[in-house]
Amino acid sequence: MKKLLVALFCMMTVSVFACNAKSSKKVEPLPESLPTTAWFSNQFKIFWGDFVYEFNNSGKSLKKFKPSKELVDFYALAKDGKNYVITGYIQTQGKNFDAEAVRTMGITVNEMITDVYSFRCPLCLLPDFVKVKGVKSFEAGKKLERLHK
Amino acid sequence: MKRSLFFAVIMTMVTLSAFAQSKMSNRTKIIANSVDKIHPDKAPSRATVKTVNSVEFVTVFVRFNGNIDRSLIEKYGGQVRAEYTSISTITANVPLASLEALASEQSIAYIEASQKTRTKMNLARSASNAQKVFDGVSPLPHSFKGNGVIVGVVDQEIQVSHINFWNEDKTRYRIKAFWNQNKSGSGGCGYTYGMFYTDSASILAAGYDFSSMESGHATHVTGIAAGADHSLNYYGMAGEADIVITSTTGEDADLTDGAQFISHYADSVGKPCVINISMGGELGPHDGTDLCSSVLAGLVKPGNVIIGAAGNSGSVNVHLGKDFTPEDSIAGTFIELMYEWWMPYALMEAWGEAGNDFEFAIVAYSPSGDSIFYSTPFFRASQDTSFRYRANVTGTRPVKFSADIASGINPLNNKPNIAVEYEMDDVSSSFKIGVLLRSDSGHVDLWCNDYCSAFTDNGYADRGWLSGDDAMSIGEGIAISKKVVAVASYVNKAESYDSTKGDISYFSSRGPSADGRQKPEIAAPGEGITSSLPDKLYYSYGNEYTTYNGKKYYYGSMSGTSMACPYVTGVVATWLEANPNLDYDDLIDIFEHTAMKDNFTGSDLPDYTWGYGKIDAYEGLLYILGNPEGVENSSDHQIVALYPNPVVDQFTIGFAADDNNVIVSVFDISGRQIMSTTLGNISAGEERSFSLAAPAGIYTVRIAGAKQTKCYKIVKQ
Repeated sequence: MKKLLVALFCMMTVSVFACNAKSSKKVEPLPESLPTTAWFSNQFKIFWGDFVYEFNNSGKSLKKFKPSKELVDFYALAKDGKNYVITGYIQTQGKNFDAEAVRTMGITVNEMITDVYSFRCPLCLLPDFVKVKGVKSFEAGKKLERLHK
Repeated sequence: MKRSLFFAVIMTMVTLSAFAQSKMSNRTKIIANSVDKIHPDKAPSRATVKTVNSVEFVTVFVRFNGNIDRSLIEKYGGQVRAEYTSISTITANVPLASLEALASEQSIAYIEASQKTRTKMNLARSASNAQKVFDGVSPLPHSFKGNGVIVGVVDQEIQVSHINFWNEDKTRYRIKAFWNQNKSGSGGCGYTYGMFYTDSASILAAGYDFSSMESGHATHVTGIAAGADHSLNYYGMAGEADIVITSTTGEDADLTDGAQFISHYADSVGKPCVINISMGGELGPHDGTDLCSSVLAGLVKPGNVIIGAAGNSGSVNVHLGKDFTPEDSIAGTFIELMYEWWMPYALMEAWGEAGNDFEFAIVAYSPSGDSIFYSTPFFRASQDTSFRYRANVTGTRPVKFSADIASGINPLNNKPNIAVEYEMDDVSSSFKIGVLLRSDSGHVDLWCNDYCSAFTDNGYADRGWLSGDDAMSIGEGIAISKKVVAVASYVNKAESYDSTKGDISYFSSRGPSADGRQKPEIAAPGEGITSSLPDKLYYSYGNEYTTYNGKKYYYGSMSGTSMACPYVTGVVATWLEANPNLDYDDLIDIFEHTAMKDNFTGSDLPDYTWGYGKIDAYEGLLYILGNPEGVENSSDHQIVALYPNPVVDQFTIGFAADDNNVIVSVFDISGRQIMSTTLGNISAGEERSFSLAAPAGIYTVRIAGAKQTKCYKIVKQ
């Protein structure tokens, strides 16, 4: 029980400070192209393009970067506390994907069906997340509407 | 002279008044004429009239000649409630004293006062025979209200403390768990975000998911599915069911987490569950291969089903399909931006067939010269790329727009596809912005988002331009899933001049799926449905309330496939009470054999408007319980023999024809399933024996296969 509590505390701490840890790095522009090690949905690619464009022109670190209203309105961004997270799905290569390692990074992944996970990734961790090993494909989430008239 | 002027003024006023009155419904005229007479206390009996700051407001439908002009409503001190763009109509709260002046405006075509919907939920229950299910009309052994079943709702804007979510006599609070993904927290129940509430006290203390709300959508939806407050006769379908709520962020990945949480909760308490999702999107492959659809399909299993709203894209040209040949290798359509002044966007996706590539370009067209004077390059769908395209042409024919474009072959279905986010900046109204598709073979489907754009030929069909349609407009992500029941909406009571009782709602999305599957599966009442609303709405004019323990609880009317969806959810909860192992295929079987057909649906069902027809809660339940009256018309041939009957210890079934996926189930007189055996594929002449270790009494044996279903009453000695 004690070990479990310690593990939970560690995970929460990592999650809370994940973005902060990145802030100590030198601010460098993000690459416009995505890694070739995985497939990305078209919506993901368009989001990445807009995200990188905004970030590279913001002059801010990933920690301090705030997405524009347009970016929030257009894409599957949800607010989690003070941070924005991008949501979506990943299809993994099974054993080659280490879900716990990804969680330790501060990214939420939840296995929905075999080898398919939903994800909630803080924007500051997205450049690292797209390079995670064992992921076959990234699909950006969609904004859904309430279907009343 | 003065006398002439006086008469001229009088005649002008009379003419204007007559002109104004000619554009109002008869009931609206009566309301407008009684401006000095209506007493606020009596107003609800005649119209939706409320007094705010000493001003009497009436809720009306307003139809415009041409485009909707919201400023006109504001000019007369009114407020727009909702827009129905495809029919140039809004609902609005307008000062009663200004009604006639508003009607006299040139751009107003017609005004109709909203009607009270006091008995609407009651009428909806009767229309689908759900009332007979609640009343336990013979031969039902008792009433069915979802007892022992979980009704899950994934939605937004819930007042969990609403009185509608207690049981009928207010002794049992029925919301058992509430996950508010919109509230910052450390998560729980295996999830790492949002706030979880898993006991009555904490759920009631939380009260709401948002501190203020636009529509109270989830409160309304949950009330239709499982409300139990009888004080105003607006109770829902499954008033004895337990309820689990996820208030979602609206992102599909969070939504599927919410559905999974409900499913896990149901498993943990050993109860069947039906999950309602009255939400959806527009863009994607529409073939059930996107991961949101796949994930939801993966959650469905016996005793765990999902119901989704078909979507409200009916009558909007959100889709264009084209078959290409070497001789017919190019297709063009125009992008119509419905709210160009404040939302100059069009989101589009084009999907081809596996193995058939195509190209896509955005063009500017001059109708006067019948010429395309500007074109982007043709983008190849199979090319894995993404970039930001900017058009900036100045001069006499300015064209300025931006387009974010991505393309590639989707590994989930191997289809080439292009996604485009188009934003218009400056294009003369003399020119039209269009889209060209080019290919030598195969089929391409093009979709856009229905809330701000559509595909039109702009009247140039004779020049080869194509108009879109509303086919294949079932909501992406949820209702399009291969194991989610998509629910269409029909008019149970004519709500306004453009509704016909019994007909499909003009806004109800059409099928099929892009891979040719039957969508929608079923239709239910979805217009003017009255149900619970939260007490934290921005606007609550016209809403009724009931009072309990000194607190007001509100009710009001809403329309949409959002409302038809929980209707089916609630009915399915009563069916799961009878058979807790129903799955998606069982529901299709029940719809096929028991859904109502009439002059509106026609007899050639299923089709892509109605699915299998209008849901019949009572006949469906009889069918599940194996009542011979309920399945009398469903089996054309004697395909099996069951003997002996009466049964001592065991019975035998002999099959006269081949069948697949055969399941034999036995139900007791109360409708509880006591045995279920999967036989799989059966050959003609095959016999199977079954032990029946049950007390003496009457039982129903249901033999369900892919080809035929048959029910028998047996007596156990």
